[in-house]
Amino acid sequence: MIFQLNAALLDACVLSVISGGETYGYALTQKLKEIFGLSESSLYPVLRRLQKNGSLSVRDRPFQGRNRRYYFLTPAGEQILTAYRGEWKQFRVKVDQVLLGGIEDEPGAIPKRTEE
Amino acid sequence: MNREQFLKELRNRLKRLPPDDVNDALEYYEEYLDEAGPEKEAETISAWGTPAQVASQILADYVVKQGNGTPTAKKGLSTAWAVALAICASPVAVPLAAAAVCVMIALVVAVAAVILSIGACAAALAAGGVVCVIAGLSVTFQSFPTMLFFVGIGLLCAGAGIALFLFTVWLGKKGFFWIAKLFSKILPRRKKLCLRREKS
Repeated sequence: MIFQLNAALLDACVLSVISGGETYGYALTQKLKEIFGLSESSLYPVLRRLQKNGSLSVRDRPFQGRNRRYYFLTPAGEQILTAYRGEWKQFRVKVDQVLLGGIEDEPGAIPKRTEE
Repeated sequence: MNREQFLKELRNRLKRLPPDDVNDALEYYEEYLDEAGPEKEAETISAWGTPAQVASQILADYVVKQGNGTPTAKKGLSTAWAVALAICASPVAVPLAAAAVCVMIALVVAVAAVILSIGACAAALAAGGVVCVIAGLSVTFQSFPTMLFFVGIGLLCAGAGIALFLFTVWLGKKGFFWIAKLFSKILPRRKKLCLRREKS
């Protein structure tokens, strides 16, 4: 992939996936690995950071004689996710304008793409 | 490298962190292997890279976290310490790591020495000023102009001393922070994702 997730974007994506229902480290990694080609070990620091800043909380549930640590969003995490989504929408519009529309076009005018 | 070896070495490389944080990290990677299952264990471990790489990802995140916020001498120093740990944990040749740590220690010592000597100057100026004022006052009745002269010089010295002291405090806060920042910039960046500082 040419375009890569930076730390903020990765935080936002992790929060968003977890907001869809509490999940555990392995499942989350597999999901993001599938979509973004994320490396297997890079998620732990992200989860720890989000936990420390109060966006995520954990609960352990027994699973086949051991514990599975589930991550879920705190109310503060929900707010942060909403803010991230707002920021992303603005950012996306700007990039789309320049990259897909050309800056001299009418705002929002997206030329037909011949491919696909 | 099997599971036990990997986890043992990872623990070893993280041992400078608070014990709770080390256990939390170890639990995460252990659980991850449990989820992957015994048949995918070797594959998962090799996908992680070496324990040194995994440890430097975790340590790098500490540097970034502590680098945010208002700079204070204490925070700067602990960041410098975390950077030193990250240098040790990153998979560069050992002599190179040792050299980097030495350079950093030398820098910290040099900056500390400069700050300390400026601080001593400030204290001497202030003390000299106070003595000068007292000396001036003691000759008030012999010669009024002499008293004015010495009290004036004394106040000037004391003022300069206090100004210099404030400058020293400011320099102390900034100096170590600059070193920490410099070194976190030149750290080997295997996993850029984790090192990138958030702009918010």
